[in-house]
Amino acid sequence: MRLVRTFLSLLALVSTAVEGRSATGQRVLVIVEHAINRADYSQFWDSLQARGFELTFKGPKEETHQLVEYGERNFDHLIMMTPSTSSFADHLRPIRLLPTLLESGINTLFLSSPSQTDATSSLYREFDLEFSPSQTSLLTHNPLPGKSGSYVAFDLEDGLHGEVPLSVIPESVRQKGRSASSGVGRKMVVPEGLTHTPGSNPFLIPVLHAPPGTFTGDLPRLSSSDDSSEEDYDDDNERRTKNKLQQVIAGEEAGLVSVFQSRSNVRFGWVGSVGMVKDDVWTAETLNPEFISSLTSWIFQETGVVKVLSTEHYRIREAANGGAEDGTIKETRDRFKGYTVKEDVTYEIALAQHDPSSSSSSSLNASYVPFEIDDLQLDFTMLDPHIRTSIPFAGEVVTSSGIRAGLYRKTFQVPDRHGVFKFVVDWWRPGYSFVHESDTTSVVPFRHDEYPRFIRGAFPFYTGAGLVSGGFLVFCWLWMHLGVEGDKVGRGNGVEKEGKKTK
Amino acid sequence: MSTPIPPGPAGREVKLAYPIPKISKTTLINTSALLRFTILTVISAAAIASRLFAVVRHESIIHEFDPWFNYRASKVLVNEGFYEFWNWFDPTAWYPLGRVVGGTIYPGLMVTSGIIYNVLHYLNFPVDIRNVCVMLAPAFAGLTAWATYLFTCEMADESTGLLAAAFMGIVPGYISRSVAGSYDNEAIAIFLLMFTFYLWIRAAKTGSAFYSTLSAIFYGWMVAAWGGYVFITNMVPLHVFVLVLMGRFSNRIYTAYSSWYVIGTLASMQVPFVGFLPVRTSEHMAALGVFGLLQLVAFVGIVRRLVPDKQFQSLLKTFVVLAFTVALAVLVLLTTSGWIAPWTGRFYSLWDTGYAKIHIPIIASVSEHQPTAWPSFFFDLEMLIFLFPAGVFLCFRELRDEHLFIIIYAVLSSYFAGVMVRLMLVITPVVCVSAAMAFSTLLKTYMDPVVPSIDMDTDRDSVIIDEKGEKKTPRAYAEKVKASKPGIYGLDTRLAVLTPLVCSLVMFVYHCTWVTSNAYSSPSVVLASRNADGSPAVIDDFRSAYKWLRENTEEDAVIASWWDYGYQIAGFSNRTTLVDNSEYGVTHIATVGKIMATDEATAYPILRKHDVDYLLVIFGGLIGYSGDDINKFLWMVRISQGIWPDEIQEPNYFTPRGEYKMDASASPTMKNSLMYKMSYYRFPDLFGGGQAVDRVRQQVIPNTPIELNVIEEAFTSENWIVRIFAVKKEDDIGRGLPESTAFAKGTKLKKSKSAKVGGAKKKGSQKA
Repeated sequence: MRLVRTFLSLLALVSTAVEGRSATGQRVLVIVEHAINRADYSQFWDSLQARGFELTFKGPKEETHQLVEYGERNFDHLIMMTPSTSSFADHLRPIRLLPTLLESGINTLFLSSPSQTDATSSLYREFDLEFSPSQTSLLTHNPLPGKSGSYVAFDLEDGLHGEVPLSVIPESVRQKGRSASSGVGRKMVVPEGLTHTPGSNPFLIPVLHAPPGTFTGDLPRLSSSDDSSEEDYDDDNERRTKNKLQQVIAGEEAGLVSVFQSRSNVRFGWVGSVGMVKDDVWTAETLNPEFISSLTSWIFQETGVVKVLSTEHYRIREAANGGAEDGTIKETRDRFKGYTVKEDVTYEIALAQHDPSSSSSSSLNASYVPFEIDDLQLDFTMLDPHIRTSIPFAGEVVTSSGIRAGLYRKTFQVPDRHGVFKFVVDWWRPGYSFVHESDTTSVVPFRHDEYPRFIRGAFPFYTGAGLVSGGFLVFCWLWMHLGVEGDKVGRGNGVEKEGKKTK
Repeated sequence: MSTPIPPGPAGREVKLAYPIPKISKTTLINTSALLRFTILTVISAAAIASRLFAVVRHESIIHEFDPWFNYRASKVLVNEGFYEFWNWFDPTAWYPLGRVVGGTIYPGLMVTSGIIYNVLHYLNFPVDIRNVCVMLAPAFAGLTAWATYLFTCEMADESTGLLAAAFMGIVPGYISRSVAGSYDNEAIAIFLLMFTFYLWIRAAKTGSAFYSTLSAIFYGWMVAAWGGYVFITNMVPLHVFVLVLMGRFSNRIYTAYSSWYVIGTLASMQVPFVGFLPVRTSEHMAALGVFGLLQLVAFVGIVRRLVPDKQFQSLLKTFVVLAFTVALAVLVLLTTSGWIAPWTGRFYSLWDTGYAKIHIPIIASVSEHQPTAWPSFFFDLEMLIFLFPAGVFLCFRELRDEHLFIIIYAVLSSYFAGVMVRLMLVITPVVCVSAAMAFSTLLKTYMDPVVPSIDMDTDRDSVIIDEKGEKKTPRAYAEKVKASKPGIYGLDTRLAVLTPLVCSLVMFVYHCTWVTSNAYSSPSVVLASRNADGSPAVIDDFRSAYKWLRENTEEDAVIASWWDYGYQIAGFSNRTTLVDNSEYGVTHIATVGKIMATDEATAYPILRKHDVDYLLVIFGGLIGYSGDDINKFLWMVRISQGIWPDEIQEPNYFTPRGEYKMDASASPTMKNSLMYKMSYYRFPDLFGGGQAVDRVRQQVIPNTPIELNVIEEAFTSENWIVRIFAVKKEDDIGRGLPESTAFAKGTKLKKSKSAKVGGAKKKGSQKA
């Protein structure tokens, strides 16, 4: 066993060096509870390892292998296969786990089963997911021959949520699912699925819901005789009565698989049934391998990962000494204190998408390809957006770090308002990393010598000033040269005398 | 003080009450000149020395609030040059609006210290700009004493001048704004005020265009230095106007005022902040009007000389009526059409003390703008306030042109000083001058050794050979003697009056020193207190908090605090502030008031919109520092109520019985306000279950723990005076901050926020 594990980890190590498919890392911590036999899921583990992930298996109460130590994460992703566990090691307790995951950016796949505990359900409620009470399951009236009612098989398009982004479930998987309707096979199989209803949390993306003709109900006891984990909740009659479904949910309301991307692009996924990744349904006949693989690809930051490589803003000015070939120079933010009002300013942002298929070199940089979209928008904002404009794709660029990226560029005129402005690019699309870039700059008023020296509208004033000055000089000249000597003196004294007289 | 009076030159024997040594006239003149110089130097030295208490007690530090901005601006001026200073746009103030500093300040102070700094460096004195700034006020106080001496000499004689200079040097009313470290506009403005007045009096007396030009130049400097220049702008025209009304118009006045007005107005318009105000606001219209009036009067004078008397009378009447009507019509027309700005609110508040409280709470909220309490007159001026009317009375007795100036100054400034505390500063010089005149007259009368005799009236000229302007006194004196022969005959009478006078002078010095030392020498960023054993202790919470900010926050962090602390945060911590002491935008101040006055849920979006990272409150409840934010809180409420009357209402912050209380009976609005929560957060914990007593308000704070959701405590200073709270970011997974706080505390959700429990729709309800 040990040898196998060593070999596996060695294999994983080698494959990491070669591939590096996830944008954030390959280390996965898998927490498997004792009720679940890890070997029953070997196909799933193998598929992950084949994609280059290093798996570390631990029990829910093991204190070793902290997710994060000294502020550095030991694992990049987490798989929680612990539906029926109610007490965890300290670092895995929900109250500790959730902040750790969010702060350190650890992506997590949660696997549920009808034996899910209340503690786990209440953790999921933080994500605005309401799981059905334990001991309930997705049921069908038309089970497959030889299977119980809780073993639901259906066409993907019957269960796929209408707005699932292609980056989560790509077209190829959907295509394979479609062939199921033409009778080939390749159906989704959900054995003993615990359903949930996704709330209105904007970060939540429902992926798979219950197909028509299915509903949630109490887990049929007779059919679960072959379930290995049956013993756990056999004698739990009291809880079952308490948790009895108040209302049955079905169809689109009954979610089976949902994913979540946090504000800081940490991804989570919930799969309503551990059985979906079990070896007996992980076969070439079902669509589960493809579906789960594409799902984990998204959760573990392989697909739909968009990165802002650089942003820049500058003004174009006539070069004083002809430094650049076209007679203009870029003045970057280091060289001036801010833009002047009504100035033309150019903003650039470089976006790249992670490409999991590029396994050419060990360099992580090479795994990015230019990202081209046509709905990127730029705000120039101070409290409120003063300018809101689209920022078009301007071609590919190779950044200084050697990454090929898509460059977006916009030139616009700064509004006639001084203050601290922000260039904000906000691009939130489900299935992709949220792009939120904010660059602060200040817009300053004209300097005292930047106003035009002479303006046409002021010519009356110039004329007026000139005339008065000239008139004064003429008056002085007349006063000095035309006045009679005696008269001048007399006039001065006269007023003086008047003044004294009134006194 | 008073020059000994020698016996008459005619050789006639004068009876003396006490013997005086025989000194030749030249020696006397030389000695008195030397004495005057020495005394003036000593007075200046005393003026400087008494302002150094703060530096000796604490350290060479900039005081209070506004000086911190002036200091920061001076640093920019010195480090980056005059043009950079002129065009300085400060993006860290009034975030995110920014402040165009160069165009919104009176640069005189910074330019003055910048010049001093550069001169000293040119002379190879490597002085730090901070020390220049700290010492600027005492240095200029020394100059003020000199200017007061010159000014008073124009009014009376040199001995009065010296007395006035001594008063001015140490009077607390002036020291309050000019101790070392009090680097504010007033520090140089009072010197400029006195010197401008002196030059104006010289110009009006002599009709010298040279002096009036000098006066205008100093007026220009004054305009560049202090907004109070408007006082001069109205004082001088008023003086001229009264002179004209009294029929004392002369070519001297005409020359002096016309040169002063034209050059002074042009000079004042060079200050960017003032710009076209002198021709476009009502405050400056009096000066313009008097300028016009003088031209008319001079013109009438010329016409009168040329036209026969009879026609002149009717001509004059028509002309005066016409001119008055036209001028008034033009003024009204220009005002209504918006070319001339009407009186600003700040000015209205000078006439109606209740005006600001109703209409512009932002002005009323400043403690300096409160009406003056009567004890502060005695506190700031001591015996001078009693001598002041006597001095004004003496001016009436002589009533020369310059005495009119004193009278007008006294009347105007008495009113203003009663209306606003900060205008105490304006009345102080005239009080010193008048009191010196009264005191000097008393001293002179009783120190005069000449015993009245019956034959004295025959040679009145021989009694006193003194400075000009004193010629009337002996005559009046002699006439009195002739009438009833009253007078001071013996040495005992003299001593009986002189002894109390000298005693009161000593008391005055004692009082001034005491007030300076105890009331006006606190830097207010460092508080002095005493330990239980009586040893002095320093409460340094402000500086430690600002240091924390400087060292522990991001360089572009935005700090929201009440505007009083804006300059200090910028000066000490070099961080961006939302509002500061420049009273630049009412809406912005009201926004901060709203943040403080509303509950967390309302405040949070505002905080995030303004990118606020930290909130700073001053809380004095633990050690009894009464100048804290809760005592200013009602102003925040009032100011934000002015902008959002629907959301903030002042009555909601009082108890049902209308009391402003923080204890258990405080209103819910008060208890939910961010200000209350930040101030008393964890406060009862300090008392370990005992009664948590707020020592400022003497109220018991309820023990219920205060919960903060959208902010978290980041720093609290040693004595809890400064408390800094960090604003949380939005929750990463889209919960409300109260929910995420609850989760962090271990509360488990029983129900998700919006997801349906078990499905609510009926249509899918199939039974298993």
